[in-house]
Amino acid sequence: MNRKMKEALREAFEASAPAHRQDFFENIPQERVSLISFMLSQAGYIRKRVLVISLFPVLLSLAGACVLDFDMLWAISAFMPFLALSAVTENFRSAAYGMEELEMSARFSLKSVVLARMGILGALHLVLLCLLMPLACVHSIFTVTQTGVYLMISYLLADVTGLWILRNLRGKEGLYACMGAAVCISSLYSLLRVRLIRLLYRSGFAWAVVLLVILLILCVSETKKMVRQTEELRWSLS
Amino acid sequence: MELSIDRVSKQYRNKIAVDRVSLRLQKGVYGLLGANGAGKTTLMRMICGILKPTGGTIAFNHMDVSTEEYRAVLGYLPQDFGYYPEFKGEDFLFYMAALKGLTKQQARQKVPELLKLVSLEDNGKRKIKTYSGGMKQRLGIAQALLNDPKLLVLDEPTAGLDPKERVRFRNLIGELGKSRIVLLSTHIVSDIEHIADTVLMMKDGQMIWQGKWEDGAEDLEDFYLRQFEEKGRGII
Amino acid sequence: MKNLKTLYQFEMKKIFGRKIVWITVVIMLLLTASTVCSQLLGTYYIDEKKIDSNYAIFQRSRTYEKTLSGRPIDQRLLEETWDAYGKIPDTSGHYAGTKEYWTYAFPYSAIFVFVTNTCDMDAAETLNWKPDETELYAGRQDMLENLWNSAYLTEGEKEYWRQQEMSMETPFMYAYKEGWWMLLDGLYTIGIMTLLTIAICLSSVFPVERARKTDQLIFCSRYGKRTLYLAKILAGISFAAGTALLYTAAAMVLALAVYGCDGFGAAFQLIYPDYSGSISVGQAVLISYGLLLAAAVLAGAFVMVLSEILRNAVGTLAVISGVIILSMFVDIPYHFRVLAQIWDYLPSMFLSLWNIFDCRLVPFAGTYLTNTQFVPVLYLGMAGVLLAGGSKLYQRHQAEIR
Repeated sequence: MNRKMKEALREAFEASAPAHRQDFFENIPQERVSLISFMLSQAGYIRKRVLVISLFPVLLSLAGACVLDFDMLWAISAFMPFLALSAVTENFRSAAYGMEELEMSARFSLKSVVLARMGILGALHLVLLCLLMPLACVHSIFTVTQTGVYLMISYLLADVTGLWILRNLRGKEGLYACMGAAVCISSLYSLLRVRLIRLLYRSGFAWAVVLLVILLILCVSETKKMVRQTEELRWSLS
Repeated sequence: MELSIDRVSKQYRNKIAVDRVSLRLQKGVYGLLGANGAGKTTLMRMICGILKPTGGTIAFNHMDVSTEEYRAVLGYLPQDFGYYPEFKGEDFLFYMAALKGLTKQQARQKVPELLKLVSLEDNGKRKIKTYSGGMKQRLGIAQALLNDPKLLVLDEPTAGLDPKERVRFRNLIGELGKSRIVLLSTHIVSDIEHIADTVLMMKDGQMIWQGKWEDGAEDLEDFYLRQFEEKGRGII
Repeated sequence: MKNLKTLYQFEMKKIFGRKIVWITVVIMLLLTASTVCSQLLGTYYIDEKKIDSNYAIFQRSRTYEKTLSGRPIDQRLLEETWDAYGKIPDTSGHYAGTKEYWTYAFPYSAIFVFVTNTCDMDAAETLNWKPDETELYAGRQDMLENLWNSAYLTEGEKEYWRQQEMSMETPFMYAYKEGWWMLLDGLYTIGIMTLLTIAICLSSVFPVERARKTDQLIFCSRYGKRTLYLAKILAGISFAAGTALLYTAAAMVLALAVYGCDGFGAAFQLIYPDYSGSISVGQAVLISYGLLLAAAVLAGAFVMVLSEILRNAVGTLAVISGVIILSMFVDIPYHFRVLAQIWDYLPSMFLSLWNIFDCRLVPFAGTYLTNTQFVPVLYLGMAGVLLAGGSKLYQRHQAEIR
């Protein structure tokens, strides 16, 4: 049928009003949103500044390795707590801004939202770590493995502390306390780097590995407790 | 006793929140009605000195709104206010009493009195973070009355109160209005019907109606809706 | 100012009512303890060989240094020292691992280190040096002249320090002063911890009113502006000063209890030969920790005013911690004389032995002021200016539309 005919028919006939429109819409099978597409949709809601903060240590280590000829391991270790902070606080955005109640009652509840954000940011930071390890040890006396362990200790220390704080302090006070903790850990690394280098270089790597394992266990434990907390409101007061 | 509001305006970049409002308020209860975004809260905040008008003046008995003497006679209950979670109810009142210029002795006398008035005498030693929404609202009413204000400004004072408390509050406001200026804004029209001597209506930043409202006259809600169907016009 | 005391008490209650304040203070106190005492932990190694525990080495060292206390560092003591070191077999500089070192030379190692630092030599050069009292003190002069040149001092400044040198008595009397040395050595770390505590605990003094939505109630109250501002800054400054005093007290009690109070009157040059003034080790400690107090007051004022400008506690904390961490990694070369000197006046840079007792001076009314004279006035003056400016800002503050 040619276009002119179609247009002529359209003008000649008035379409009848739809009947049982509402029933039809109610009976259409709803397309199930898959977990992957939900996770990808959550990626769009992660604040851009978290991604910018994540890029900073990579740029720092590139500068140190290629341009400055400077041992960047401790500078990057001092920055890792802020990286952890950006991830932890992003997971707790809902609680900080009072969105918990709304999200808990939605189909993809707060638990799914938080798990999605954690998964995305966790994967991103793991990739970052793999990039950082070879770069940060370029002018360092430590091996790639040792560098990776020391960077992870710094990251996990801030991560565990942040998770504990946010589970126990409500609202924006918790975010503020996390920032304080990240600042303290970062400053400790900066202040104690000479003593740390001496300690770790001698015989401290074994202890560093033990500390890493402890922090990993604590991190998993805190994460589980946090996820459980997203299942219901802790307080029923406004 | 007179609150004089003379051609007061508040303008933001491309929005006029309050547009040349002029009022003279004497003793009594004034009910301020208006739709959301009409400018009621902005006007109240300017009367309380926490927002600076872009034009016009506000004075109470010739004391300008920016002076300490003006704030000494003012009591204000905001629509949405906060608290310090680690403070107990009575700590909060003692703190506000100090800010309002009461001595420790005066505060020690006033605080228990007001806690009893708002039915919080058994909860004064509990931390505010354990209070329900209604209890916090009552605490807010108590702090507004600490300094026996001659000018009492209440923004949505009965929000969160149960019906019994609302009736008690209405009676309290009625009593207070006999000897001071009370300006209260609310969406609950029945509150205004029962307590307000004068009704003020705002629309789009302008005062569109002001007048006495007798109990038993036509239904205020119908009258209010009718005013808002007509084109808004500034009336004094 | 009526009700100022009551409002001050409530502001202190607001500061101390936050868990993070207590957690921070406790952690920093523990870190202060570890800063002072950590030298005693662990094992002492030389060339990958374990010698003994640090505590055992310290005990031995203390015994020997106390034996030397009260003796002038003169020709006789120098000859004794070099006789002892002469017994070490030639190991091309790696003498510290030898049995002879620990048996004969170690008791005189404090004198050996003093000579090394005073004449700006390395260990190998010092080993080959012939003990000569005149040469030692002349070598010190040469070292100082080189230092002044490398610091780009003017002729006037050099002349000032030469006058100071002439007023000093030589030979120096050796004294055991480990407790006071620990306090000076730990000053930088304790200073940073003080500044961090102040940043974490005070950056919400003003923004908390906006965050808690109490600003409307406060601004419409009679004393909600001027009086409350004064109460807040008094509370903040008291907290900052109290923090500095608390950490100072903790460090002093620990250091002097563990290492001893000996050596208060010892010449400061025994620890820091680069300085040309007649002050004792104990006086240097008191001056340094007094400057910590001044820095704490400035930091408290700066944090509070910055928080009032930004109206955001997290933003304030981010800015302050960024400055502190940046200052740990960035250094401005000395040939940018004025810029380097100004950068070194930042509290996070200044609270260190080498900056407090720096040779660079500040010209004033035809004379020169040392850092110990100029910086307290600078810090307290700046604190006053900041707080006055902050007051103007606070008066103009309006409650935000929510």
